Amino acid sequence: MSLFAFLGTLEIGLVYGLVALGVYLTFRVLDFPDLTVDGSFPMGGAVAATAIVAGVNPWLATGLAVLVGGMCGLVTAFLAVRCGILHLLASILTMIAAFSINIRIMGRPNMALLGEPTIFTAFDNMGLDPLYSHLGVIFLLVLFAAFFVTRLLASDFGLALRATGVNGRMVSAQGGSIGFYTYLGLALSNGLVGFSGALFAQSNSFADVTSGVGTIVVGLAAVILGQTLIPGRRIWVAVVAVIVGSILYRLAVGFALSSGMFGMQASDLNLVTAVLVAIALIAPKMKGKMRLKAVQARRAK
Amino acid sequence: MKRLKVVSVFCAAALVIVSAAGVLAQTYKVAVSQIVEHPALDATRQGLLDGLKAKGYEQGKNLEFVYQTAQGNPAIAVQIAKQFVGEKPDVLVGIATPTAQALAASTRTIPVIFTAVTDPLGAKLITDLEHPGGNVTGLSDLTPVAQHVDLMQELVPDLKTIGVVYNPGEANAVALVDLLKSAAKNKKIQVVEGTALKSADVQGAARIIASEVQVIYAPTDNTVASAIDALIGVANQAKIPVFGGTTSFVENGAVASLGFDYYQVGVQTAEYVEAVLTGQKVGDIPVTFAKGSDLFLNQEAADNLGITFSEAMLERASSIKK
Amino acid sequence: MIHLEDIGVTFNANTILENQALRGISLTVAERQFVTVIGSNGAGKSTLLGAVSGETPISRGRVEIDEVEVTKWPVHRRARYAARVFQNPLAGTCATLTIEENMALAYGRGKRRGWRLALSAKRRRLFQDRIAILGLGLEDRLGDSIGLLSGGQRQAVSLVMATLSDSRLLLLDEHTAALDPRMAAFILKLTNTVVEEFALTVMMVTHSMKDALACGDRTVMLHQGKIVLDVAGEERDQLDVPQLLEMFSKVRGEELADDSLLLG
Repeated sequence: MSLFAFLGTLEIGLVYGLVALGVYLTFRVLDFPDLTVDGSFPMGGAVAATAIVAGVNPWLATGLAVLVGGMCGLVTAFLAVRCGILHLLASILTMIAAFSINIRIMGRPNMALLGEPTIFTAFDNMGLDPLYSHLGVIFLLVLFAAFFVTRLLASDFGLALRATGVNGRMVSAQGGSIGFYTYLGLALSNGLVGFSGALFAQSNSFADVTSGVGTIVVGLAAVILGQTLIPGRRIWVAVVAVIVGSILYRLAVGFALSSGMFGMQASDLNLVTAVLVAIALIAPKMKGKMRLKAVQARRAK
Repeated sequence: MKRLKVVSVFCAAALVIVSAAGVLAQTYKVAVSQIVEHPALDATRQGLLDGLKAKGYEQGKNLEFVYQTAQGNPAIAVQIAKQFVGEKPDVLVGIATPTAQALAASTRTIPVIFTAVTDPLGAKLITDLEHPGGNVTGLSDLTPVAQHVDLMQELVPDLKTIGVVYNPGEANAVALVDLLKSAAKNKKIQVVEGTALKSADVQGAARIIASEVQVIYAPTDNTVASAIDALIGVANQAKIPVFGGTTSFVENGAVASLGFDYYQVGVQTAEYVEAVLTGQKVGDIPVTFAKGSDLFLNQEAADNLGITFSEAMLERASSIKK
Repeated sequence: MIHLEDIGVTFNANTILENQALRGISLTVAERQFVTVIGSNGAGKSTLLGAVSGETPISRGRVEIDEVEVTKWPVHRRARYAARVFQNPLAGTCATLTIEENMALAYGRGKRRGWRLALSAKRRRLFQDRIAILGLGLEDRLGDSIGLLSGGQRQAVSLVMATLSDSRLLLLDEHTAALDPRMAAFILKLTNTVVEEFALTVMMVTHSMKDALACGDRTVMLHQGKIVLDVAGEERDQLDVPQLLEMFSKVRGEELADDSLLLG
């Protein structure tokens, strides 16, 4: 892998690290399997791209994307909490609706940002090498998001959010509304995903409605991969782990793409993903079994 | 100022030396990124490869031809772009819009040739068709839709309604359907739309519109192309002809088509690649629309549907499937 | 403190499984009163507690806590008035959180949960002081996951958690039933201490006649969704378990007599 490809891979890994954070919040913290991300990711891109082309300041456009992504989460929460639709189904409904809405937002399925101002433009104008400056800006933004999530989960609000996914009855008994935390948890998660979509569109100069396909799989792969390799009960460890998981996932994809390596080609990617996630799921069990065997062997002696 | 001039002269000289070295070494690296694998785009790639061979660039001899597909996923297209740019090939070729955009966004220096992109201006790949200016140029596969409407009218004399199945999520397809609608409007023909978000939906979408229309237009939409057999099967059941947006659909059972086949688009793309390899400045190579006005007819399908081709049509046809 | 007016609860209304769990219960519990609730299985004890906490939707009637009508309030809104300890030790705590995090959750009951750090040094000191009362050595294990504790230890922590915010009502739903006798006795003793120290009003559901008389100052017996006995003061002081059992079987006997009359 060349340096250029490596840095590019890091960049995409970090951008999708925000997706992993969002997926971590829903799947792990809130125990709410949420597929909305397949819709909120391209929507973040669509909103940011449309706003930028309409002349809105790129930072403001990115903020808008976060808000709109959060709104996708609220819709899913509404369907699940208020209308009592099974969470998985509720999120699928939002996801497919988002596809149509994304086309409405952009007025077409693909919107280009080549030559438009982005959050990176100011740094490009300073004469910095975009290869490093874009990566740096994205790194700082992801770091900020990671800090925000860590700090939030350590707050009174975050504690209740964490308990909601484990013991909802206890949360209501302690005066917390499960519905409220579901709404805010999903909004937060999809806000992060919308943020990711906006960064993706700006760093790659296009927003495309098809870019949402499989976002949830990538996010889950990152969460599972990261938490398996970097286990730990502490919040900041988990937050770092899922972002690292996202980068590792992209590196794995990058290696699969490196021409000639292991005789792999891009069409093997889905297989690579499936194998990665499967290994990550099996590994902890294997570890446990091996430890058990070692203990038994010691006892036998 | 003077210093700058010196530097630029030096750079130019260096460039000449480098490119001369390339000629001497006699191997060129062409990296092709394709958004998804399906017959039309695969044909484009094959055409490109064969076109290059005809011009003396042969794989394994003086040509390194690298190819990756993004499986329809723009994020993977971006990773492929980063990978390719890092490998510093002589020419990057992007087949279809998102792959071309990903390549163009990843480099300002390596020449990027796009192909099978319907609307390169809308995709912001270039800002000027005649003088692209930057490191990007290529070939648009904008379909001659207006001529298609004329032909459909020739096939079905009292044509009032045209059905079209397409994926509203594909930039190319939406542009084509817009063209179709405006061309039809001029002739007071109604267009009935059937939308399919994935290839599995094509059959259903065709069923819904089949009873309301006299002819179904199959645009060069990636989703429709993947399920063209299903579409034609439905039309045959409903006894209405399918008009192909690309000539390759005639082989699948469409009654007629006018245009280029994607193999030819690939061959024409090879001209761009050659131009770049021989040292032409990318910014000076104008964007062109894919050439070819081949009329393809399918006698077998016409017989089944009870349609007779006029003598004039048969005369013009460059290929008739018996 | 609690005022219930003609509470009726019907499960699966208008179906073949229709079950009238409560049939018109009216009960007023005064400030600082400690009421024990007994009755056979299915008598409606836990349903009654659910009607107060809001966990059981009521079909008719009116619920007031602290002179505020809360009939239509959801569980979490009523939680500001009432702390609860459940029968199942797993239900009252969050297994994946640490002891101190569980306590912080309880600390926030009835307050706005915002951006403030859940575990400040000040709060930690408070939690340490409170949990030290238990004498279980948990004050040095605040950072341990609560899932590591035994059922009894978890119930003990739950009781401490109930005192962390300033609600004055404590609802206990057979909170010793899942424990071994020794631990049950410890929790009951702890309950009395806590109630005394924090001047709480209590409704305690129990299946133990002995506990029902030993704890508190008023005992209510439910049967088939109705209050069949309500004793306090001297009358209660003179009651012993055999007498209570006798009354209990008398109530059931009358019911049998009614049936035989009907059949006859």
